[in-house]
Order: sequence, then C-alpha cells, then structure tokens
Amino acid sequence: MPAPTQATAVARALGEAVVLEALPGSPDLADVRRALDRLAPIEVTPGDVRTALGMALKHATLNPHASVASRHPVITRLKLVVRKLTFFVAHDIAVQVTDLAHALLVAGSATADRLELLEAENARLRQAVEELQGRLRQDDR
Amino acid sequence: MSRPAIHQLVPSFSPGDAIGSHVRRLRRLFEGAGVETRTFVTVCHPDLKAECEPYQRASLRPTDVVLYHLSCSDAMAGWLLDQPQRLLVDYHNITEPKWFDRWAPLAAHDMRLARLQLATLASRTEAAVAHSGFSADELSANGYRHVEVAPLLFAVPDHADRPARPVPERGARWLFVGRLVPNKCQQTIIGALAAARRGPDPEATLTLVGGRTIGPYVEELHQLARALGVGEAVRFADHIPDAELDAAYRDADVFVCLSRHEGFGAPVVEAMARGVPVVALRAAAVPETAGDAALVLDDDDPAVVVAAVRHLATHPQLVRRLREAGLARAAAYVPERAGPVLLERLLALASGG
Repeated sequence: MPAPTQATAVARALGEAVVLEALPGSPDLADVRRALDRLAPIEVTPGDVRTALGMALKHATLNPHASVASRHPVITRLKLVVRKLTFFVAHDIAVQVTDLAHALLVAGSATADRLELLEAENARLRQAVEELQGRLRQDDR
Repeated sequence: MSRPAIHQLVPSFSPGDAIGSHVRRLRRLFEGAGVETRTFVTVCHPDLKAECEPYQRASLRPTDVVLYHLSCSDAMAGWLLDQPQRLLVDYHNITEPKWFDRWAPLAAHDMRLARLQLATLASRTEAAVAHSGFSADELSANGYRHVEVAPLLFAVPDHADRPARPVPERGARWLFVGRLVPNKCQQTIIGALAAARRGPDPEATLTLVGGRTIGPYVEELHQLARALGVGEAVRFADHIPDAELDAAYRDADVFVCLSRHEGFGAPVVEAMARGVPVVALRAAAVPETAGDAALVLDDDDPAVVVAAVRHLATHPQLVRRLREAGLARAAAYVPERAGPVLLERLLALASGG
C-alpha cells in the first residue's frame, strides 16, 4: 500500500481523534481542555477597562521567591543563599507593592463603574433629547 | 563599478540567538564577496565585543548602505530616520503583543513599540527582506514597497546522523525546541502529552528545550504538568549547548510544534534536517516552512494531536516519506546553499536592483 499523502494523513488523524474519543472507556480530556483554556491569552480591546483590570489583577500579587534555577548546581546554591539572606527585605517590599497594586485595582474598578454609569446616563439623555426633538418636529408641522 | 559598503545594524548582538547567528554568517558572506562591512549594535554580548561597535559612534559615508535587522523596539530605529544612507531592512518578525500581555506586560509594550517603529521606517526604507511569506505580507501591509523573501541563515546540518526509525506505539519521545514563551504554546504540547498518556501511549515523554525568559509563564507550565499528572514525564531542558541539542534531536521520535506565532520556525527545519518526523500546527509562518514535509494540523486540540502522533506510529511508510521530504526541504536551508541566495538578493538590493 503506498504511503498516504500529508493531507490524507491529517484527515485520517482527525477522523481517528473523533472515533477514539467516542469509544466507551476512552479517557476524559475535559480537564485537560479546561486547564489549557485557563492559560489562553487575554486580549484587551481598546476601551475594555474591565478586561484590562482583570489582567492587572493577575500581575498584582508579587512573589518574593525569585527563581534560583541554573544549569550549574553551585550557582543554584549560591542564589538560594542570597535569596534566604535577602528574604526579609524582598518579602516586605512584595507585600507593600502587592497592597498598592490591589488598592489601585479597587480605584480602577470604581472608575470603571463610574464610567459605565455615566455612559448609561449619557445614552439615556441622548435618547430623551432625540424624543423631544421628534416631538418638536411634529409640532412644527 | 565598485560595490557600496553594507553595514549591519542590530539592536542586540548575541552568539546564542538566531539573529546573532544570522548576522555573523552574513558578515562572513559580505567579506567573502569583497564587500566592506561593519556591525553596529546597541547592546552586545561580551564574547562578541571584537566583532561590533556601538551605533552611536558609527561614522558612515553617505554612499554606504545600512541593513537594519528588525525584531524588537530600539532607539536605533529613531536614529536611522535621520541618517542619509540608503536603508534596507532585514525583518525577523515581531511577535504579536497579545501573547505577552498576560505574562509580561513590559515585553508586550516593547512589541507594540516595535510595531510602531516597523511602520515608521517603511517610508524611509528602500527595500526589505523577510524570511517567510508570512513576514513579507506583514511588511507590505505596513507600507514597505519593495519586499523580497530570502532565506534565514542558521545552523542546519547537511546530513542526518539519526538513523531512520519508526515512531514507537508505546514510549514515544516527543520533542519541542524553542524559548519557553507564550506564543510558542508549550502548554498545548503538555496538554496533548497528558492526553496521549491517558490514551494510546501511557509511556510517552516530552522534552522541552528552550531558555526561560518569562518566569510566570514557565512556572505555570510546571504547575500544568503537575496538575495533569505528567510532571515526571516532561523534561524542561532550558537552553542547552549545541552537542546536547543534537542529542535531543537524535533521541526524539517526533517533533511536535503547536506554536501560534513564528516568523519562520527554524526548529522545524532543524528537526527535518535530522530526519525527525514533524507534527505542526497551521499557524503563522509554520505551514510554509514545513511545506509537505510535516503533518500540518488545522486544530491543536489534544485529541487531534494525539491522533496525529498515533497515526505516525501506525504508518511507518508515512514516517519514511516525511523523512525523505524533510531532508530534501531542509537541504535548501543548509548555510552553504542558503547563504549565496541571500547574499545575491542583498547585493542586488544594495546596488539598487
């Protein structure tokens, strides 16, 4: 039998994926898909303050444990010693900066709330003005 | 008529990265062709100090040609706007910022700035080369008038020292090579490996070779592997010396690339050059780099990726065909063949052709 072409192989693989997953006793991949969805990129479209704040929240908590990974075990140990020696300073700064970030997020969230209220009020007033203008035009006739 | 001098400008010059390697090979080609050339940089790796000079001290003749390697934002771009020399751009692509917003906002900001600089330089640039049709389209969309696709210069072995072998149905060794960054989607490969181990290949393993630049993302990858029960089956190999990289390719049964943004995708060619079958996602420049020498998937769902790898395991003829096609495709990128092609294009552009 000749080797399948690339396109045929891909089509067959797709078919096999569907069939394999439908078989009784096949592994449940729902948790894998959920875990991957959780790591998807977050796109902030222009003007989308709420998503931007959500993203800021992900960066708001500072971890004082800098990575000590290195290809050289000696450097790893050295980094670990430095990290232990400076932990009390790093921890204190991390807590303060995290608090500041969360406070800014609360302020940003309140600003977003206020903006949305003003936008809704603006839309309501525009509609009222348009209705009044409509009535005036009818009276003129 | 004598050829004009062609000077290369590169923001960050390092021996370990793809652009640094490309610049150094290109310099040797220029010198071999009798073209006067110097390399000007913003920052330089200590090992390369003898090969470059700070761009702020560059004293260029008006008749010289400047070749700017663009991949990130740099003050050099602003400086170039005020220079009288003819400007060529070698575009290495800029990653879409959306991949970094979540993990590294500063890096995302740099990418947005780089894209602004890309657009700003368009009117000043006489001609540009890109290393894929994908990148060339981006240049054209940004207003670049004369754009050509030319090969990237990187280390591609001219023979495969890995013997031809089938993909095993059990215990397949998956490999991906590339920096641990969000656009390369290493998490999707980990997810697919977890699916494989729950299904047809409980002994499958994965090696991820690549430098760790975005700490929070790397931490998430480790957490994901542990959460999906494959913590022991995934090896994070970091940035490794060339000899170890060769060994990683030699040991691999299949190269799995589910990257969502690649300006070219050099590791795909590196895998092909070593005879490793490639399964890749149809995204950005990867399908044109892979051509018909890989299984190119339209979907990166774990079940589909697992089925594709399993398909290779059950179809040794297909693996042989992919190996032959891959070796032929990679041969075009061996520096001895790709170098003269790139040199000829650049010399023609520098001469106003």
